[in-house]
Amino acid sequence: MVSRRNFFAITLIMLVVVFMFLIPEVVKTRVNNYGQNEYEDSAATRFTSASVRIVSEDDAIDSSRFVVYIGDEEDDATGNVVKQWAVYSKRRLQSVHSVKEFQPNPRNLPEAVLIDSAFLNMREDISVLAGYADLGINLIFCNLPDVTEVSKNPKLRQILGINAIIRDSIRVEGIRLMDGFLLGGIKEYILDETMEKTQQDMDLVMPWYRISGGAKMYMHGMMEDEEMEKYYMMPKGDLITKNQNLPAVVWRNKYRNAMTFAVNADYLSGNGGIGILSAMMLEMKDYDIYPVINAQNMVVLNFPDLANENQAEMMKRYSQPLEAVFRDVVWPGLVSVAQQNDYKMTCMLTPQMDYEDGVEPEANVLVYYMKLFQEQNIEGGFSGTHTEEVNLSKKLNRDMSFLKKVMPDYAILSLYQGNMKDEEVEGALKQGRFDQVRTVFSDYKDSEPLVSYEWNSVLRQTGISDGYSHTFSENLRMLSIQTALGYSNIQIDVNPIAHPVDDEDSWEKLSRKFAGNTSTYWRRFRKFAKTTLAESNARIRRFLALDYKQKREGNVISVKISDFEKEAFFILRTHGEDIRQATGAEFEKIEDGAFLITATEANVKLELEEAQDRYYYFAEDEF
Amino acid sequence: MSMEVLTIIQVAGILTAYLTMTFVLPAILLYRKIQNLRFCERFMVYQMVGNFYMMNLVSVLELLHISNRVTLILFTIFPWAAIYIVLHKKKPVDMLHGGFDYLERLAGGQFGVRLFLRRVRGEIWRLLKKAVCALFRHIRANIIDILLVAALTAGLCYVYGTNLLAYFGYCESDLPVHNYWVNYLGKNRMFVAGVYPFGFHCVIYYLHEVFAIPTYVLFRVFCFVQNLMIHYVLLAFIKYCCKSKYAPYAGVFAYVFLGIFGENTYIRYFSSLPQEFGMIFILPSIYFLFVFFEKKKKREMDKRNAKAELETAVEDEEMMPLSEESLIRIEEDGIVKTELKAEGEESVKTDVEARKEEFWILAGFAISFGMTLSAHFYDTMIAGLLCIGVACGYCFRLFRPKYLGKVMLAGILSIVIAILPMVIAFLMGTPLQGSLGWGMKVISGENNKEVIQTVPAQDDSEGTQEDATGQNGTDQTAGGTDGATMDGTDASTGQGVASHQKSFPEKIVSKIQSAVAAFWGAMKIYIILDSYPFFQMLLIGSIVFLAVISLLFFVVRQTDYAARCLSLSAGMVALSVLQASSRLGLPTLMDAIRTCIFYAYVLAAVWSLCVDSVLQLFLGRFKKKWILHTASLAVLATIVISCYFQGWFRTPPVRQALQTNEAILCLTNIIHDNKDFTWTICSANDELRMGEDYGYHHEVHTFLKDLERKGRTHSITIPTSKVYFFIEKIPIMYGRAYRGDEPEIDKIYAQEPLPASSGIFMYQGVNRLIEMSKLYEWAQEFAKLYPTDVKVYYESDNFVCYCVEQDLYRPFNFAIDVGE
Repeated sequence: MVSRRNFFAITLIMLVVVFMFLIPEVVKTRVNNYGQNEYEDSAATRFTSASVRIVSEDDAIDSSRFVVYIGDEEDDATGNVVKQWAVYSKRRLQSVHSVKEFQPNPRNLPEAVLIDSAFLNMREDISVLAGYADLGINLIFCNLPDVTEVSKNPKLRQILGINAIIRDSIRVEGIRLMDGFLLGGIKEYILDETMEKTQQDMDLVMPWYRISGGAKMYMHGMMEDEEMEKYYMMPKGDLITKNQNLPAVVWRNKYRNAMTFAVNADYLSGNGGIGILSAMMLEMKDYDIYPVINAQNMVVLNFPDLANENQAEMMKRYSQPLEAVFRDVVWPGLVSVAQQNDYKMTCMLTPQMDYEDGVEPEANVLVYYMKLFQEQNIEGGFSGTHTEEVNLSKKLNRDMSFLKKVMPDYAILSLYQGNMKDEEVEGALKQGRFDQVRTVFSDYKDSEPLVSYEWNSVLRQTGISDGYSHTFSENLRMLSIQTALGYSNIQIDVNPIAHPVDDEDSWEKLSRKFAGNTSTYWRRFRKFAKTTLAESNARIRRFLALDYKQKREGNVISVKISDFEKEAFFILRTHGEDIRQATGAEFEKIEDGAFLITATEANVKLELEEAQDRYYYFAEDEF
Repeated sequence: MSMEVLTIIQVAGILTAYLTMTFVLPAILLYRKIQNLRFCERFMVYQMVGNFYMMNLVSVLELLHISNRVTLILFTIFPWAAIYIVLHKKKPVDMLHGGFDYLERLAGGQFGVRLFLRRVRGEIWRLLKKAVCALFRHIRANIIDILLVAALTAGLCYVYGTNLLAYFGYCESDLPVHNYWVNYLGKNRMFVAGVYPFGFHCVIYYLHEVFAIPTYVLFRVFCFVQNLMIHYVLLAFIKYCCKSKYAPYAGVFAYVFLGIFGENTYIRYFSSLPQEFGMIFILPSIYFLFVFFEKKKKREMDKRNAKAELETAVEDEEMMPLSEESLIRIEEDGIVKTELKAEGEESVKTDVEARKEEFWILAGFAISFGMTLSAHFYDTMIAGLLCIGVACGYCFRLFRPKYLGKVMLAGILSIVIAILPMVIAFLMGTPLQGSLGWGMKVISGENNKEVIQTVPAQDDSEGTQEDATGQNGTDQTAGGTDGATMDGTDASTGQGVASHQKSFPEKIVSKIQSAVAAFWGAMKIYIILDSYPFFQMLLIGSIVFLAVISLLFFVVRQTDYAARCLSLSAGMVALSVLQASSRLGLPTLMDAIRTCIFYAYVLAAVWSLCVDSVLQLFLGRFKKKWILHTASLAVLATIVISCYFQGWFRTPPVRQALQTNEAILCLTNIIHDNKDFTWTICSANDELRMGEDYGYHHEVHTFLKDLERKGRTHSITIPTSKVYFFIEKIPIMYGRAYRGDEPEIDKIYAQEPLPASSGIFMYQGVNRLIEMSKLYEWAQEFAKLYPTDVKVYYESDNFVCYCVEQDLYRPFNFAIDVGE
């Protein structure tokens, strides 16, 4: 027999338990406002394309951020990189097509002259460049003249710090990137047994320049000792400095009153060059502080597909329809990787790919995913990917009417360009189909800026890394962009899973690559903020709009930010100095000598540790 | 943390570690066995035992090549525990059983954890209370002594401690070489530079290894701990010799506080040197000899008295009836042991016990005497001379066979114990260390001519040469001005003989006069400053007075006390002969500059005994000893007050280091900031050995030579992540204090060719200036090439330390070609 008292207690406990489980669910359902895009307001900013800061000549005199480029800034290679970098680093760029066109003004000398060797007149210009060095103007050779020209020109070799040309052309096995140049530490781009051959996609053939004693190497070719000794006899006891004799790729030389930098490859002809230029600027001075975006995005393309398409193939491969594959296989995989690495995903919805099969997107599936998105702080965007057979206009009409019908209040802020042409995107935007879109996300192209305003005030962000692939070049590019902008976009296209072409398109293979790459190569950049496209959009707008002045007095660096809105991000790189305290900002250490500064006010003061601050000191030093 | 605070913490740590080994552990072990001894005696015994164990443990483990922290700790704890169990008759198995039973009961729930914890807490509290009570009891009973010892300690801190906080570097040039030898003990390579007395090094190594104290820190600050012990042992010895309680402090206070002594008598106290360490064992060895003669005589007397009483009792059987058992034992043993006299029976020990006690006393003498040799040969010489003094004082007993044989045997054994590790190493093929060979030549007389001939040349430069010789660990300086005086004396004597034929008594008088004159001259130069003629007279007077008063004590039948006084007086005469040996034309076994250290040290004992003997003579016959003690306190107070009003107290002496303070600061920080063996220091010299256990060192001279010779064709690299360059902007004048007029480094000096000298000479005088100027010039050029990689680690007006950080994948080629 259960006594009344016990009965009452048991009932009470059961009620409490039921309550405990029910209440969170009820609250979650009530609070989950999946019909609204949470980033619509939180990631809003007043800045538009008109706000982009173009550094004037006067500003350049004030801030001393002024560089000269000898070359064509409108080309799709080095010029484009230099131009982009100048905008991002808030530098005034003076572009000339020949050395003669630039006459240094002693009252406003540039920080550096960047040189595209194709625009050099080897007979006349080298001595002029030597004159620049006398004035203390640093020289950056974005690429080098042909090896025969270099060998014929001893003055140029002297400027560059080339001690000897061992071979006109040599194939190295890999490239080593030294510690402290780009963020991310030392990297060796050389294949080992565990790697696929496709991973090595760097240019390994180069002239073998041996740099002189006073030069400092940042990147060099790698080769076996035996291979090296075939061509170059090292003096005995010089094994320690072996690397100094290897084919130089990026290095610095001290010539007269200036530093000269040389890049013996085409690393400055793509977007990956911007970080190398930032790193070079740091190597010219005691410290460097520059604005960054501070955004790490993970963009899942064409997910979810709301229609149960490609049924036969899905049943064959996964024994379940697409909807179940996405819900039970792909989604958990994506979320676990995102959560493990603290990413916020941006998912580019594709209501359907095939508009002729009679299978229509299901509203309840969309609602299901939107609730999940809301719970996981995921931003929903729209994917413009379509098959060639489909009429784009028809697709957009049907998709948008479907979305409007199911979620009339959800603001689509991000659009994935997919295989839409630029004109098609522009047309769609003009027609008002995507009147709330702030970001157009597109695939990576070396010749296009990483972030820029396009189509009036809509921002373009490009994917920087493919989640399924991470070759050596891609890694170098990622490191470089992280160094210059603190910015990365990992894009994961799930369309191959819904419409596979071969065995490589199965989720188990793709997810392994994607999870492995994401967890491995971005690990060093955990201090950067994880954002959705809408959030990074706001950060980029603020980044492009702001300007800053900085000065150092003793161990205090003062930064004055103009056009400051809410927050701004900077990277401070020093040569071993640490920050003691910051006012008007917060700081986090990214790695030795690199700090992420989050400015919360327009005036920031960073107090560095005293150079002579030592753990032990003399008592008299205290007073 | 400031270097000053760090140094104080280091001193406290080292003192604690050293006292743990030489006081606490031996005391726990031996207290019960020797509790009948006075504290001053026990203190000397503990010192002897602790140091002896450390020295020999390290020696044995080193010779077996198994010396490391683990073995040292194991061989310290287990033998200690084993001896403790044996001496205290503990039953470890029973104790373990008991402990396990107790735990079993706890685990079985017979009592709870709370009760267990309460019991543990109660036990701890009980022990604590007992300890505190005992401490307070002792303090109350000896409050004046404690206050006086505290005053002495405070004085030592003031006199010898302040320099430690002002100068952080090594003050003697031979310290790096001792540091080097200790470093190699860590690699199980004893006698790395040849066979040499390693007692001091073993102790330093032991403290370094077991207590994880860096060797260079020990060498920097151990001198202070050593000084404390030297003075405490001196006090303990005098306390033993004196009859009154507070007269001992008179001599010790005079020695520590008065500014009357020549600089050479104490200047070496500012460095952790083997010779000074060995001083700890000189007086204990004399103490054991005193005890031996005293106790043996006492036992003989006791035995004789007992026998006489027995005979009287046997003859007068009726008057003093013996028990049956006693009579049986008398018949069996043929000797009276017990029950003859109720009061006396406990005091008469059995023969076995007596022999055992005698054995341990002689063992104590052998160990102490041996340790003087283990530490430094000069200490043995002094101990030997003082033993000669004891032989004079106790001549009426020594030359009896039962004394002489045993003492000689103990002496020989002590030498054997001390030199055994050296002999083993020598037989295993290790050659003698240079200075040892030199010392043996001096003893054998081979070096005498050379020494005497070189004396005049060394007249004024003794102090500096003392510093300069240290690099090889040799001490080759001789007797200062002595040679010249000796020659003069001889010549004048010779002329005198030629002109006037003296009678034999006149000759004797003349010899004594010249000897006294020679000693007077030596004493004025080395021991008591010329500005204190009273103390100069007092020095001579006290020795004579002690000899005379000892005769009085012989007359009043206070034989042992008289013998002690006479021993010290005779010992001082022997030391005086050594001090003036070169002036007297005798072989210079020890430089006068060194002898004076020991001389002043023993003089403190002589002065104390003089005061004590006077008090004893007049007040000693009173049975109430407090009269004597009070009088001694009054005399001490009078002496202190009068010295104060006379202005004889001294200010702390200053001994400048041979390194800049900044160099030590940088070294300490570098060790703190970096992982071991990830850095290299490029500096003139001393940091080579100081940082040997933590990082690498590169000689400035080698570096500059490489730059000049190899730099054109070869790369010059130093393959560590960080390379520190120590540059003295105002180079130290090696062996000379900063005066403010030292030249600064300059481009002019940088243009000079590199000095061709070697050894320490390339870092002396203008050579050092050239080396530092060249290094500074190079650093400036290198910083231009690599502005972001060369940082100023520390800079002051006279010193700069540059730090070059390099990626080991591309270490910098330091052979920069500036012209390129």
